[in-house]
Amino acid sequence: MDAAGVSISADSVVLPGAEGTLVELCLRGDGAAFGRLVSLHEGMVYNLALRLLGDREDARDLAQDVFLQVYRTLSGFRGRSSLKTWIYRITVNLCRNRYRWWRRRRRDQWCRLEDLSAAEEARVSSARPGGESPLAQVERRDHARHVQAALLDVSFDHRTVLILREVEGLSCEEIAAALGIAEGTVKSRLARGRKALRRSLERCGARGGTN
Amino acid sequence: MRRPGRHQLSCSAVRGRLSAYLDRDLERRELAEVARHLEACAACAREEASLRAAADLLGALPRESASPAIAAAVLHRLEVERRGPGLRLLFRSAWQARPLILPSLLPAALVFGLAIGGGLWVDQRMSRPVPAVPPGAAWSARPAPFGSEANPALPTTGIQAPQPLPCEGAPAALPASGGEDALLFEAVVARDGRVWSVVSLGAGDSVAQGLLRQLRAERFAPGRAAGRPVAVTIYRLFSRVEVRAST
Repeated sequence: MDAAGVSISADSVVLPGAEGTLVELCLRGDGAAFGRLVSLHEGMVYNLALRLLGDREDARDLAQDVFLQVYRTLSGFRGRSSLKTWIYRITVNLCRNRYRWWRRRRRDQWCRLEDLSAAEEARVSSARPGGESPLAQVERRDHARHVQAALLDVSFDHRTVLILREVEGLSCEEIAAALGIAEGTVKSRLARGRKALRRSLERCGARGGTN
Repeated sequence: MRRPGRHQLSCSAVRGRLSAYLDRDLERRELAEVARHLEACAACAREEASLRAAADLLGALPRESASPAIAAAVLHRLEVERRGPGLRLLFRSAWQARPLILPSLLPAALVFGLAIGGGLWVDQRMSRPVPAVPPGAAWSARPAPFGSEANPALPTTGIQAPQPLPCEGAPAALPASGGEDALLFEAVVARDGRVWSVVSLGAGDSVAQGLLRQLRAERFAPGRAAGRPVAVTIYRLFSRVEVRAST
């Protein structure tokens, strides 16, 4: 056992706690355990892909690809980082590949966030304390679209760091581990990314970015 | 922009630290200095506020729920891969698709080598000089090669006829005796210039037999076809004409 409480075996690393047990079961071929693992992380993966790519269908497809890759390479996971960090890295790498694929094909329509379905709207608004007026819902939706458009205008590397920091709430150290870069690089990209986002918001004319 | 005092940061220094200030990722002393500067400098304060607002807008983006089909779709794809060899074929690597490619290349190379080697061997045999078939040898079902003593060429177009070489002694000729006659001989001049065989096409009398012995002793420059010596069949006509003076 090392200082972090992670035991090392010849085949794979077992993480402490419930996550470690889940990984162990997945490695033994327990389908239900893998389904549970997917359920635990699909929200994070989907939202990260959604903010990086700006398209729901692509985000859904990419999320599936992420978990398929997790399944195929889980035996190679050594526990040097948390499982969540490892999955973040897979997600970012696949998103980067998809983004490059788009860019080679000169994809014109970068922001295609469709309106939430009525059921989703109802669920989101009912989750807010006291509910939300229809006008507020429209304003919020419109606002989100502008922010997403401005976000997609920022370079992929800066966008990744911004989303992991501001949306996912990771620390700079966690972002560095997830992306496999130095912490100083993360801070540098974060500083430049924030300025780029501010300029992009000014261009998109979103509220709150020009004051 | 404000000029820094003795212990104050300049605007450019503050603006370079704003991102870290937003994250409270500065030393306590630096945090205090930046905060003091922002209180005193409206421009820098606006800069800090705009960066904070942009970050807050990002943080306020709604978190959407993943479609319930993601987990089910992943498990379904894994199940299909596990169950269906046909579909698994679509996802296998090129090496998995052809695992026997190396083992099958070895016998293929062997067969190819044998074919090439066999062809070269046969070609060598064909270009070797054909051994002469001795006269009187039993007839073989396989025809002798053209230009050999068993299958001599005829002195036609493209075939250079053998040329008689100066011989020792008197040349072959009919003995001087009375009467007129003609004797025709068919001879095969071998590739080395010797007379391989000679037969009289006329009667086999003693005169013809004597001439046969002379003809067998003759030597020729061998006939040639495309520069290559070949055995050639030649015909020798000996005739005797009596000439009388008219009175």
